[in-house]
Amino acid sequence: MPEQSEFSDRKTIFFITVLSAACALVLAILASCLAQPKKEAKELDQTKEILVATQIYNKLTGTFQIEESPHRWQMAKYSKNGQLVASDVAVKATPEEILAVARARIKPFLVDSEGNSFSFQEKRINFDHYLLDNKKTGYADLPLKLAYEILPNPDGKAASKPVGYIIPINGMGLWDRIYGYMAIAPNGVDVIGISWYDQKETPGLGGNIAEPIWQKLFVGKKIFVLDPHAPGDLVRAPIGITIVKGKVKDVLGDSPRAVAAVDGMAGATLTGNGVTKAYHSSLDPYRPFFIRLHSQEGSSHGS
Amino acid sequence: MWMGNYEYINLFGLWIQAIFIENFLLANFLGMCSYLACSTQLRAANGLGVAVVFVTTISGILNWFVHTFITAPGALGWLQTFGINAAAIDLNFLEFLIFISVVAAFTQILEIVLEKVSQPLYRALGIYLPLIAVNCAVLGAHLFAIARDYPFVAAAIYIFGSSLGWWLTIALMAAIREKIIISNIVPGFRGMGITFITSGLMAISFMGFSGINIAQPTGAVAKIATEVAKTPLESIITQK
Amino acid sequence: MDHKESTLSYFTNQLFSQNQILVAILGICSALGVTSRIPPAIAMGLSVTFVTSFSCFFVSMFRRQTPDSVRMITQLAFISLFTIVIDQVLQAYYFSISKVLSVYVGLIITNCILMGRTEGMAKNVSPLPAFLDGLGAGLGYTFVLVSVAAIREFFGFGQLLGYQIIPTAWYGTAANPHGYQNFTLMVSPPASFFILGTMIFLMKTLQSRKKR
Repeated sequence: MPEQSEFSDRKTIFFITVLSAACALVLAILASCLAQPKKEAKELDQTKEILVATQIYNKLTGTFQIEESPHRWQMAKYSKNGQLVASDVAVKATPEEILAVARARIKPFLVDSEGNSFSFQEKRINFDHYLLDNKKTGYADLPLKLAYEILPNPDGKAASKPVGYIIPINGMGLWDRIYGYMAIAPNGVDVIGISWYDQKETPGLGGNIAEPIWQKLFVGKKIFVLDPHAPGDLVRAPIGITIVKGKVKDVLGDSPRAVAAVDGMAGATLTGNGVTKAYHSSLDPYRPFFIRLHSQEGSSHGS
Repeated sequence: MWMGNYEYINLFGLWIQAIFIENFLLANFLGMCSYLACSTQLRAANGLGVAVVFVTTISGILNWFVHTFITAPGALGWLQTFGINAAAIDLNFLEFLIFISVVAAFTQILEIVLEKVSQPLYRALGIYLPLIAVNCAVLGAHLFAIARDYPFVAAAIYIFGSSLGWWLTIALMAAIREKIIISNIVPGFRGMGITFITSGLMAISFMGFSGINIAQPTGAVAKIATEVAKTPLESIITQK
Repeated sequence: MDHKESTLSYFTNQLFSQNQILVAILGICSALGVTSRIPPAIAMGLSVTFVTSFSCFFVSMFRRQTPDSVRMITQLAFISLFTIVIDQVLQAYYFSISKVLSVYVGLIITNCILMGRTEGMAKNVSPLPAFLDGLGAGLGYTFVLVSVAAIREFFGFGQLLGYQIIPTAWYGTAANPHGYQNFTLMVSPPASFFILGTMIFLMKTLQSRKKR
């Protein structure tokens, strides 16, 4: 075959070496150029989901929002001093604003198994290393668990108390692990909102857990199934949100369990079961912390 | 890194899951091209299936090492023993290129070795060997195992199981097609059309396996964690 | 005039009469996996178009310098190069889409269409026809993907591109159990088998009619 004899072994090796070197060079240049945008894109995505859980960012409209009355939110826009002001027109939140709001208002801290809170500096733990080590398996089973406090909209008044806390949720869906957040009110019982930032469930069925429409059902639910005869008793009350099969009002009616139950999604029972288990296993270890919050809230309200 | 949290029963569950529940062809749709082209006869399907299992498993093990020691983020930390601080270098962008090269190279080496060692087997597999290098299922199995962060043994079991599932499906399809060819199918559907419809029906039947979750690790680390979480609550209340 | 027409025919042939999915039955894997909604299908189709056209262009450009023994490796190298480029760009600028496509972008490397075009066409013709051929193949593939996704999204969700097409008022509820229900099977994997099988049937029937 005349064509092949044109290419000696040496020429072939030379060709392959040059080709590999050229490919590697092009890719290395590209990778280093895109390293920063990639990191920012990932951070932005996760930050958006934290803000969705805390009801600061609305995924459907792409704008910020502020609470004007319990469980009702008004569109807002970002103003220069970091405050969110109500707005009647939809002003889309830019990536820089989203990151700025999150950095200013979402503060990570650690909770131990007795409900005491510590900052990362106090315990001399590097936040990034801690995240890297435990992201996959979750924080709920660690001796020092991750939580975030939500600081209120800065409106010039003196340093205010947190308006809520975020617990990272980690569990197993139908296909793979699911990761999300749940934002809880300062009384340690009511849910502010939820979000899921990493899930590989069936699109259209289990994948609906990431849709704002279904997530809205969680607003105002309680994470404890409170005994109506002893509503302040959080020690013995079962903890965790339950996804029922069907609609809550059909399945549970007026049962006390209805305040901690959410409508299921048709055709996604197994994902719903996984979500229920995820909430139970991720929230239960924080129970001492919630009990502490509830008693602090009770004493501050003079109950 | 080697066994992770996986007990032997979990590995068995993972193996079953890879073959039936997450069947590569019917649930993940990978490896369709050669599946459609070579499933007309059972003998050819079996030959291709065995070759795919062999290539996928061995090159999968090789690629796991590539990922763990070269292309994972921070994977080059082992160079510390030679005094080179390379832990910050991220070669993740080269992963696809290296993976496909390993598969192609292994296929080539296998072809050469087979030609020397076993002529009948070489002639039986013949044209299929080069085809395997570009079989989506091979690269797909490797990428899925990496994406799920399996430890070594679990990754090997998963990749082995996935390729077995592929072989099972192509053998099933060949068996069906050998019979269908003598049936009276609508002219437009003959050949590829009816193969797709049949695959769809097989996929629905395999969907019946979904939800069986037997592949989760239940090893030592997980057990300790559940112990820690059970602290008595009453003592916390009285502490206040 | 004649030469110009034949160059363009490289492009138009690939779009329909030699459509890679419906006629050559290649590139099926990703066609089934990412078509439950339209946006990932468009993203996947355009990614494949980008990789195919540029890989064909470069393979054709170096076809005389490439030793025959490493022909396939060289094609794989170019294909991998452009796949990695598109993967990195998606991760940096279209993160939500890249989350949905996940490993399927990497699997463009093993997409039979690419090897088919580089081996079947690009190494035999000059760069411009090769580029047009790759472009046509990719766009034909995109067209099929979007069609399948449109059918699946419409019947499985009642939506197109996220917009509710079937009015919510039509849906059955607990009070009105006989209302419309989404055809949920369309969202699951087997549906794409059925839809593609039917499309192949239609294509075959159309082409055999033309021959007559």
